[in-house]
Amino acid sequence: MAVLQASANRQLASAFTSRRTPSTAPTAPSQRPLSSLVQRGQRRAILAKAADTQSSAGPKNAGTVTDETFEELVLKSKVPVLVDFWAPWCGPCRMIAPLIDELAADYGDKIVALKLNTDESPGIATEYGIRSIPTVMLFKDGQKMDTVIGAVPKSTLEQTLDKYVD
Amino acid sequence: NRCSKSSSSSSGGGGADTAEKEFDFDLFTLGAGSGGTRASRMSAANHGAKVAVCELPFGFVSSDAIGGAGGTCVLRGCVPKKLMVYAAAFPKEFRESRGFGWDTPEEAHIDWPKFMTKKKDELRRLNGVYNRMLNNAGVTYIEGRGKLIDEHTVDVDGKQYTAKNILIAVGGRAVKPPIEGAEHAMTSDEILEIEEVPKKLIVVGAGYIALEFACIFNNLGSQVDVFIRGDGVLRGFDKEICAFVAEEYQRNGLRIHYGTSPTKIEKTDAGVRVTADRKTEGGGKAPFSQEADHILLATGRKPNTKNLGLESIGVDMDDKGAIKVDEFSRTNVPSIYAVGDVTDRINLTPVALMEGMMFARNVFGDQADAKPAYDNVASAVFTSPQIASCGLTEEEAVQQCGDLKIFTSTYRGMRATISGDEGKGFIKLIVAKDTDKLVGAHLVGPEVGEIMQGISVAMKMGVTKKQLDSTVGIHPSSAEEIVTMRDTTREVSAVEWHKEHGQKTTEDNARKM
Repeated sequence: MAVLQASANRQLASAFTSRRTPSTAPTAPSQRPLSSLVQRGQRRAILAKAADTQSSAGPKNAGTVTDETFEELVLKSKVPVLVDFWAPWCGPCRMIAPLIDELAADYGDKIVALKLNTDESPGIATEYGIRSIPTVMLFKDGQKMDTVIGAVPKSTLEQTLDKYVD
Repeated sequence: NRCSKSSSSSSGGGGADTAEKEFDFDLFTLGAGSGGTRASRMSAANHGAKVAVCELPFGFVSSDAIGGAGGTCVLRGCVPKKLMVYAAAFPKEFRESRGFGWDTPEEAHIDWPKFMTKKKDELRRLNGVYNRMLNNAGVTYIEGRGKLIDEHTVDVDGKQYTAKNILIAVGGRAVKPPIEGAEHAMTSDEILEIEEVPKKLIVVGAGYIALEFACIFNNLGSQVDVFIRGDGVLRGFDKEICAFVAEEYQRNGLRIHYGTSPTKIEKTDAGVRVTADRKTEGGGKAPFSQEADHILLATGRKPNTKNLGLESIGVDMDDKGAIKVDEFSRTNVPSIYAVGDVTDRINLTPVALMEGMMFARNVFGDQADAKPAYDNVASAVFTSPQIASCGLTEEEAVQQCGDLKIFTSTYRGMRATISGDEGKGFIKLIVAKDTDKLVGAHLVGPEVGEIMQGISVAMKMGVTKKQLDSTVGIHPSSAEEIVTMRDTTREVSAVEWHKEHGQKTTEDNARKM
């Protein structure tokens, strides 16, 4: 389903709620009238750009998160979020990148797996005190729950995830 | 009979066949640092010996060709370090002043080049003082690199000098571990000359040099990460103290990475890029990368004994390159002595001064029993917070003194109640149960580097806990706690300790005090 945890994307919300519902109370996503194919297409494009996911037909890969989308994709997520902080110049980061994709596929809808390029998103990197990379952080209900530093084996990340995944 | 003046016929020093020979000098010292200068001055001024000392040309960063009178302490150690500690201490004072009601601005900036200029000027002045001290004592100062030709001959840049006795006091130098790209890293020499306060600094090492610099730059506002190979800070210190300060360092903003060793250092436009391994729970390694403006390698120092001609003369050295000496600072070669860091005993300036002084008295002052004493040597670590220690750690004390009574106290100074400083201090007294003697004292907190001196005198005189308790405190102060610790915090049973640590209690482990 293309309706991800990112459905509350601001751009999206303003496009579909404020014009259609006269009341000031926010409308739940399932109640919003999506009356046109064009608007549906726009919405999918925004979500795809925000979360960079493949179609539900293939194995799920880790998505991308940036300074701009961090709050929506990570902090407002309904399921635990694994964030891999990496940078292009970091050798060990390349070791862990495929593991994050594998975890995304293994855990399916139970988690959201995202990668954050610290060079491109220094704001979030600084806010969370990222110095050594790769650093993998686990978020649940908008809170940072765990931090793992270094290119650790997949089993270490699984152990961490299993503590928080239902 | 150690009568060693070269003009008399003597049976001491170099043997009967050298008794008639005229030497250029009674003493030729290699190195005009703490130990070498003291030994040379005292031998010449107090005991009338004819003395020469050779030293490399003056410079701030040392090398095979650069040194300077004053040595490591004055030019590349204690003195510049302490000046930096002072410079870096102000932001904390400014912050805390606001707690007391001062309208001190939120941001204060240091003109680092201004401070560094003053620091360099001070070191040049001290270098001049050392040169004058030697000159005033009548010591011949020869600039150049000294090398031993034989047990009575020194070559300095091509010119040879003979001496009845030779004293090697060339000290030590910082050593970088064999990491790929280590040439892009600093040692303590370079960081003492750093041109601006780094925004990000990685410090590798767990000893006092690493931690002092880490705290200096953390206090100055740098983001500091410390990479430590092992699982604790300050190896060799009392373990309870180590655990306490590690927590305080981290509370102050230092990020300490245990089980972490750098494997590669690359230079970038902005600074350095470091790859390191981090130990994982399973015993494996997790590599990671980190960027910083600079990386400081402070993992150890080695005696400066290369290319001195020692090997060809047959002077015994240990596998670290330290010159082996006996209690009188004698090497295995009768006319050759060594003092200071080059002998790797206790590498502190006051100890080198003591070794140099005792050498002079013993060799030229006819005090056959003059020798350095290594008990109850107090020392301080100028991190934030400061640490001061005298005597034994708990681990040493239980092995050397048997059952112990331990007195500890964690305190928050009176000043902090107004300033808002969250930092804590710690006092630990280790008492031998049978003699009631204070065998170890360890302090953490403001000014403990000064407080400890008085305690070390008492400990050297054999003060007992009862005597401490009978001393009236100075109020209000932090130090008064030392004389008001009435309740034993815990007792340590030597038998239990040995059981836990799997060692036999033997007669040899009986107290060495």
